[in-house]
Amino acid sequence: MPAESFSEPSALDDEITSLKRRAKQLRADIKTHVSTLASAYAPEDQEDVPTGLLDVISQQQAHVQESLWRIGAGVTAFRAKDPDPRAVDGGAILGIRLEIMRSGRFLQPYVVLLNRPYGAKGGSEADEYVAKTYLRVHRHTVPNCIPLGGLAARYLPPPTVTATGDEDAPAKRKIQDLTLFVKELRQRLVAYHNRLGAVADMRKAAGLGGDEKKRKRKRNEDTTTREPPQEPSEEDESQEDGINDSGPPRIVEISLADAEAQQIKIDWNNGDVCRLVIDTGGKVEKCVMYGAQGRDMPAAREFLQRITRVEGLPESIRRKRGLEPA
Amino acid sequence: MAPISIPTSSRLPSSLRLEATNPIVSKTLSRLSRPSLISIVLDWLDENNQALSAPYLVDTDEEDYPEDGLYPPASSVGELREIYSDLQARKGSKREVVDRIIEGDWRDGLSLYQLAMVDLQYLYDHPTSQKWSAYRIVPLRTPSSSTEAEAHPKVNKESLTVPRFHPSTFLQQLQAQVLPDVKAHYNFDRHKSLPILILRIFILDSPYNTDLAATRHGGDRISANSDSSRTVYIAFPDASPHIFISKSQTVGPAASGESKSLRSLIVEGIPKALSRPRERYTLKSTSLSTRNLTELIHRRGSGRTNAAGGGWSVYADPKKKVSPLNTVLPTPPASEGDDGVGTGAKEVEFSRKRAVSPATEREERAAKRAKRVAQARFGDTAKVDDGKGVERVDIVIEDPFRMETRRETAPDHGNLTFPRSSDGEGSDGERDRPRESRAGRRSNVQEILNQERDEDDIDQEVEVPEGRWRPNVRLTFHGTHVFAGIRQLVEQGVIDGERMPGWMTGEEGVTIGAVRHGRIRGHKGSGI
Repeated sequence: MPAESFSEPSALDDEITSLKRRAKQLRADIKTHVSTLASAYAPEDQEDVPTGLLDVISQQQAHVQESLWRIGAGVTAFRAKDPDPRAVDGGAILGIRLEIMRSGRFLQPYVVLLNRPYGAKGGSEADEYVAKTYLRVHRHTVPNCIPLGGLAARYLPPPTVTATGDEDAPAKRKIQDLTLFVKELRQRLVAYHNRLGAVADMRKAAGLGGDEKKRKRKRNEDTTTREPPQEPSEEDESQEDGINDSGPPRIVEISLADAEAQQIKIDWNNGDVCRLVIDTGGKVEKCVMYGAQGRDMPAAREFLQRITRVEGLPESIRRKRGLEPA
Repeated sequence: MAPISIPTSSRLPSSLRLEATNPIVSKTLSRLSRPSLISIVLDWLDENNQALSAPYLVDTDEEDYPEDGLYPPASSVGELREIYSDLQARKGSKREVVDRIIEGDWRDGLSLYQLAMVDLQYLYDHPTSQKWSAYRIVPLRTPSSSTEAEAHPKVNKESLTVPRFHPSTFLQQLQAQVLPDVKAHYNFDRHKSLPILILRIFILDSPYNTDLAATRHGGDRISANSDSSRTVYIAFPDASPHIFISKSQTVGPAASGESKSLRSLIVEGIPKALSRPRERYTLKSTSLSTRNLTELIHRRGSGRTNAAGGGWSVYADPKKKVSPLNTVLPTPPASEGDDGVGTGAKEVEFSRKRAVSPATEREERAAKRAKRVAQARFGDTAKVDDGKGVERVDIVIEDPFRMETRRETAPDHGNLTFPRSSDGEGSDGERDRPRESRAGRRSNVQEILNQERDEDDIDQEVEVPEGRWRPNVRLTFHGTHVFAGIRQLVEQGVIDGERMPGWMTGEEGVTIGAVRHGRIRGHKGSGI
């Protein structure tokens, strides 16, 4: 009897949870159906349709169009409003959304929000022009490893009037170029993600899965000057997870050595080290290899001849299971 | 002790031992809690640490080993490990452990490495024990001519290089910057939970780098008080061209002076140590200083949240990501029973609605609206429990007094005392006021802001027309999490969320700032 009284409520609980899960799923289904219907349905006679539904349909269609642009163009602009009551230019914000795609998935887009703090409306003609056209980066979500400040200083300079050198010539105002700014920014972001992706692929090809955070921590410990007693423990570790001296050298770690992901460090279990430098365009710029006998120039040269672009890096590892420096 | 002690310019070795009777040793040790202390001691007894933290051992096979009454020396590390594991298992006072370390097992003294470990453990145990200031590493323009090289170097705003930081090179360079009459011990440690690398610099005022450095006749007059001022922490966040430097903890002018200059020597060396040939850097203050490292990482770290504070955080929030391949509207029309809890609440509200009076209903609606406004202004930031709080924000208002409002509302605000004067007299007052206040406690705020004004050349052109009275208004917000407090006030309807200026949401990411035209001067929130 007591067994039953215990089991019955728990069975009910189970049922409730499963039903809740099902309800949740069904609600998600409704949303999908609603969006499908709303994007497909174009009411001919708008008067018959309730206004609420019309709203949904127009919202849905706007969303679909926006998505389409985002998929196709990669860079899209949008308007936003600064909630700050004392914001410049009435809080008008021009947003720029930069899509990043990686292995068939859209990552969270990067956003740069621009406002127009310069000049004064209702002033002279020049002032009016400045107020209308000169932009400034207001907020953004671009990470630190992209030199957004430098790009903004180059392509979106403030409208300061600079003397041209000789006294007679009229002073010139610096010209902003939003297109070039966005173009270069996007290029850098995409290149950054390509490099990150290449390193991830290399790790996968070398069979180095696992906890990225842990690796990262270990990597930083490696680069720091640790106290001497720490050194043997590192070696112990690499010997533990590596095959001891027998067999071909194996890659034990592939890591990034800088914020921009331009420098890649590869460690073998026999203590050999390779350092790659990739330029902003994705070309393998430099390669240095250190073997047991010191710097191994021929191997590095050979590698540089074989692999010229960042895209080739994962393949090289997949084929050879370790670049074999020595 | 080394046979000869000659003044050198090299750094202090980690194995250098401070005498156990040194006041610094006992003070540092007794700051830790008992469990942390024992776990650190067990770390010292680890095989790998023996070179730097070997305890006092005695070979029991020898006939005449000295027998002490209170803490007989152990014969092996294993034995000691057992003793401390026992201590860990049972309860007792901290004093007991500290005494055992100082008078027993480490009577020869503690190495600088051990002290560094203890200090860092204290930092992890008390994450708010240090006040950090965030600096940005900015590239300087490479001088193209010799005349330019002699002038004060300018910040290269158009540079596209992201400064790189390599710990061991940095240390070498930093050591080269430090004068030979100051000795420092450096210890790098990886923060346990945050993506930062912490460098602890312990400064001894002595020309020797042997055991003599820590003794009285070796030059340094160590006193327990100067302990905190001679330790400088520098934190390097991963993948971010920022650097966090701990502020000196000394209170009052007594301990400053000498130790302060030692510290400033080190701090001045940092940008030089980061620089390389043809690549110079300098440190630029980012007006953010707090005790909370999480907040610093959030604001000056490697992520997306650096320049998207307050309500802008929706753009950086990975949860708010809308893939263009997803056709469902980001804010789908509410369908019936969106989620179980929601309907329940709705029903309750519905049933209650009939009973309540119109006044209560209005109140409820206002409260709801205030919550929504707070959500719009703050986004998902400034929550009480997010652990990213700043504890002090200083704001100086530089806006001229709004005369038109005064004319309208003057009769109502009898308690607002301002001179009903002509504009000419007002500007006199303006000139006097900053001078008066400079004597006050917060004078360094004004100092920092003045310094910044010189740096911000963009803002120079925006000058407030002369001849208008500018009251000298300073605001200091204090609390465990200042912006969460403001958010709560908005949610309670105390602050009108819609009329509240943007800097009150904390979106600028500064803890010290001057407000002009209702905005923090210098476009602080843009991260550029």
